[in-house]
Amino acid sequence: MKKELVVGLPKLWVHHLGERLECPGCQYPVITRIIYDVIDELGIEGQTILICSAACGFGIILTTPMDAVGPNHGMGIDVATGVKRLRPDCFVVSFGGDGDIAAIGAGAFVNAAQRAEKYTLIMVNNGHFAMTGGQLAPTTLMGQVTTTTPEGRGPSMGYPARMPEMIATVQGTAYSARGAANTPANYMKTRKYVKRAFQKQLDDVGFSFVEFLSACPTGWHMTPRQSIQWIEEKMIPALPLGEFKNVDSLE
Amino acid sequence: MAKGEIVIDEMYCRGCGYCVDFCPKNCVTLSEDTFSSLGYQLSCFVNSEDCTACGICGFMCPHHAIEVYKYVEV
Amino acid sequence: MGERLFVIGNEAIGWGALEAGCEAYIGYPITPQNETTEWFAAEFPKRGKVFIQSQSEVGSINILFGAVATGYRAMTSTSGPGWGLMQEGMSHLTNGEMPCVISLVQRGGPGAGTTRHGQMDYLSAAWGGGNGGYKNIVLTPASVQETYDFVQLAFYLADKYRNPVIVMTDGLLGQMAEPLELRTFDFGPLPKKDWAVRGRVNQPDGVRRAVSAMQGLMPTPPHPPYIAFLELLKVLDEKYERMKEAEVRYETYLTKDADLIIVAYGYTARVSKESLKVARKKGHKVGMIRLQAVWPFPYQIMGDMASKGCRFLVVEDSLGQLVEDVRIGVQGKTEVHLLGALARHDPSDGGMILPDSVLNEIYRLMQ
Repeated sequence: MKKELVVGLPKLWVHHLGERLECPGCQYPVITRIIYDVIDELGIEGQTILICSAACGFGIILTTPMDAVGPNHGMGIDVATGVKRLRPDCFVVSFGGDGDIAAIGAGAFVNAAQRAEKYTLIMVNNGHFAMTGGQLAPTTLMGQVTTTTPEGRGPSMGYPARMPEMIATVQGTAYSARGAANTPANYMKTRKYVKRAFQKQLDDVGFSFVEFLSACPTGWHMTPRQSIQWIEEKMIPALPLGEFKNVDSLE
Repeated sequence: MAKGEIVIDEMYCRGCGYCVDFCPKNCVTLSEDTFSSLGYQLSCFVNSEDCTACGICGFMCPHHAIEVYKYVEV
Repeated sequence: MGERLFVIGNEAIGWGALEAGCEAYIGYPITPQNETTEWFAAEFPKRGKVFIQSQSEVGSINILFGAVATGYRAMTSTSGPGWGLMQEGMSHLTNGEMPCVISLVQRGGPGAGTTRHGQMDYLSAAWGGGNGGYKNIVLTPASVQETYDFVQLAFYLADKYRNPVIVMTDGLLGQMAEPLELRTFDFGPLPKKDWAVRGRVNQPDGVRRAVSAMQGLMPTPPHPPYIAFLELLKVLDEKYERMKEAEVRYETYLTKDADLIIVAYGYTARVSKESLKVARKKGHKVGMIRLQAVWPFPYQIMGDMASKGCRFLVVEDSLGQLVEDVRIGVQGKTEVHLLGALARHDPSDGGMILPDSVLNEIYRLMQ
């Protein structure tokens, strides 16, 4: 009998002082694993440049063995544009949170898709600004309590932003999807979405975008188990999973 | 008959319990009396006979603290 | 002698960038620098270079960050309100030690101000308008030829110090046509850009690179090496000191025997020179210091002149920005007068500080 490793630390991983310091139950590293695994599977690690904007997700810059750019909050989309235009031979992935992309970077987001920038953008949606302590984000659900909506989000604070649906209406978008990892089945689906999005970039089709619903037990003041239930019962009905656009040509 | 086994890295386990929730064979449980150096409840591998080495606990673990091994005939 | 063209200042920026080997231009329309954006749109794509019209100046400066992170030379240009939007990016480019060039064609302010000329962005360029306190070299040409030359110099200095460099002109210089001789400079050797991201397989040593606008906050091995915040501050401080040492640029004119020194840059420097020549003919001992860079600022020569007893007249098309730096330079040893935007010849946005006004001020001060 021999022991064969099925799952362990992602193959692309740099050991570092600051690695794996996320709050218990945070699902940011889950999407990190998906990104690393798919890049590894496609064998494009050496050509990849990872852009990680400021927020909880910035930690990815510490563990990636790939070239990386760490711009500030909201800059990730534009910085990825600059990198991809100057290095079209490289594979560019921009990684940001919901505040990063749906709030401060919303203008950049829409326009990157309008210009059909040929890179992949991953948005990790945990329903609030986690790193600054849990304030309202555009993606916050109706009734969700944050530090700036102490009574829960009401109509006076607007309605949750549905970014993949929105960007699917833009002609420059080649791929748009929303995934989650609240069950192993959804994890596998999300992995498929990410792979398809990456393939769109490799095929030079257009802008590709995947949103990932991530649990944030610390920010939501829940146990990890409750936060998975919250995703299932509250987030997915409001922000349905699935593909919203998948085209092979922009014309 | 056990088809595999898992190894939990006690340095990185945060006791979030996702492995417990998602294991289809109930092979993982949260320990009542062992804690990590950071004070988190540790997951531990039980009912090892039932493990099918499906890998779910491994990829659902946010802290990359679980290694899943499959037994293969040499 | 190189090829000669007859172009406006905004186009000279493009010719300079082309000569310097600039690979990408990112811009957003704003008057009075649109000719720069249009020049790049016409000339860059056909040469296989990158031209991007961004969604805003915030977009421009951030795309510029990404572009220069790959190690290529890139630039953007803007004016007035767009410069305000770029301040966040300027601060981050400086933190990330990104070598890039920003051409700032000044217009009147505050707010939307005017779409015509002005010299009202001095403080935000020379003193740093973004958060956190930082320094960028600011070159201030006064002719179309000098604009062309300084854009090339700016690319060199940016790479030399790994710091953004601003080429600051104004609406008048930008819109004014003059003969331009295309010429190449050899500024000297430059350090290799071994920090740039280009995909790990393309790195000579096979080790990954990380470029960050959050240097000092998180160590991102193996680059950059700053373990803690103070490490970053030390590196930046040392760099600023080196620039102050080596990059002070100014031109003196008839200062040896002068009693009154005019200090100016850009279009007001050319206006002042006209007045100065007339005043000299009338026997007034007037000299001039024309600033070719407003940061690092030539405090030393201001102090020396003040010690000799010279008085100062600052001519600038604003309510008084450059004059603050001159006051710091003379350290209260002598009088510093300002001939500012209120001396414009016309109340509309086309009003300029004309040689007449400067001459009258010289006569008044020399009485």
